[in-house]
Amino acid sequence: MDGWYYDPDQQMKLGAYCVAIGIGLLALAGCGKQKIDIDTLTNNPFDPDYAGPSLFELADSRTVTYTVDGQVHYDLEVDIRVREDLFLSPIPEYEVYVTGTGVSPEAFSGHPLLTFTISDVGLGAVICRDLALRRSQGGQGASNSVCAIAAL
Amino acid sequence: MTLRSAYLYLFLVAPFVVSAQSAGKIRLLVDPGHNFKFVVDKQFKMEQREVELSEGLHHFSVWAPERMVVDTPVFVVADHTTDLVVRLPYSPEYEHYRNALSRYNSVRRSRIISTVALAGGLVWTGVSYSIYASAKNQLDADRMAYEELSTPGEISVLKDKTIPEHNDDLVKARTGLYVSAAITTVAAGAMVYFRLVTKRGDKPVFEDKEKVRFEGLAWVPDAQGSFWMAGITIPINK
Repeated sequence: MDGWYYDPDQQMKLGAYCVAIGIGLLALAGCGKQKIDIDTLTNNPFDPDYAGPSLFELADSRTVTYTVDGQVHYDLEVDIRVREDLFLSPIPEYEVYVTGTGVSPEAFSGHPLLTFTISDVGLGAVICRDLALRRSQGGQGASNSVCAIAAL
Repeated sequence: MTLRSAYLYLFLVAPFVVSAQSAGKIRLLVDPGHNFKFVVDKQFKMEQREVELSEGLHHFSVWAPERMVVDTPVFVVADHTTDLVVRLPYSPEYEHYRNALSRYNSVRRSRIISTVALAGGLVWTGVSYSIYASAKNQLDADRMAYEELSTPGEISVLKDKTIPEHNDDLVKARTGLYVSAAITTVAAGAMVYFRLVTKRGDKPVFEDKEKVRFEGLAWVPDAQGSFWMAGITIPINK
């Protein structure tokens, strides 16, 4: 027999191993993590497409009465809590933009309570404001509306 | 008459006898053009291209390796050179050997090619898997980046540009891995098949039976008349 003849049993084993490796690799490739579905990436509050739980919620509200020239007026003070527990990473400094009021005068981080005042409201009125998360570097993230009732 | 006296007759006396006769030449034009032998009148084995013989009818047995022995009568004309054109056909044993050797070499080439293909396929699969794993790791890094980024603009770039590109890279890498793994599997199957096929047969060996027959044609007369010379072939290259 020539030198390049080998034990056929060994050849069978070698072939079986090769086939097993090939199938294993295919299975490995098939079972591995697949592509990222961008539509599912919506849980970062800084994402403009954020679709998770509301980031801003009403913490408290008060109706303040005052008189000007004998006429009674009412201001609504609204306390908003920013749910920093929804942030995915260490909490950076951020700003909150309130429709009709403007950007919060201070940057928040770790003190998620924001208070703003809506002047001269009527008693019983439901006042809603849109709030949005912002960074000083630009761009807007999560946003939602918060409503409060002016009541004594 | 002893064997020695027979040779003396053949080489010393016969030429004088022949010289008294008219003689002619035979020029052998044989296919193959070289390495042929012939026996004249079932007695004298020769290899030259021309032979001078006495006038009259002679018998030629021509042979060459791998060819059949061809027997033919030749009439020698005095003082004239006659061309003897002979095409020696390949012997059936040689044709059978040639076909078997061709099959053997073909299978052997297939064994080598399939083995090389398997080795190449394994390397290719390894590289493809490395690329695939790298693409997967890149997407894992993108997932991490999405969670760590806190700038809306950077998140938009990540989602609109970076991740789609890396998704495409993953698809390409996975396709490459599928193809390379499939080819490797096929190569492994081919290698096993050809190994199994070729294990059944040894390398064909050519036994030139026509040579044995040709060697047995020559005989030399002795005291009792004649004796046959026979030859056998022993392949010493094994």
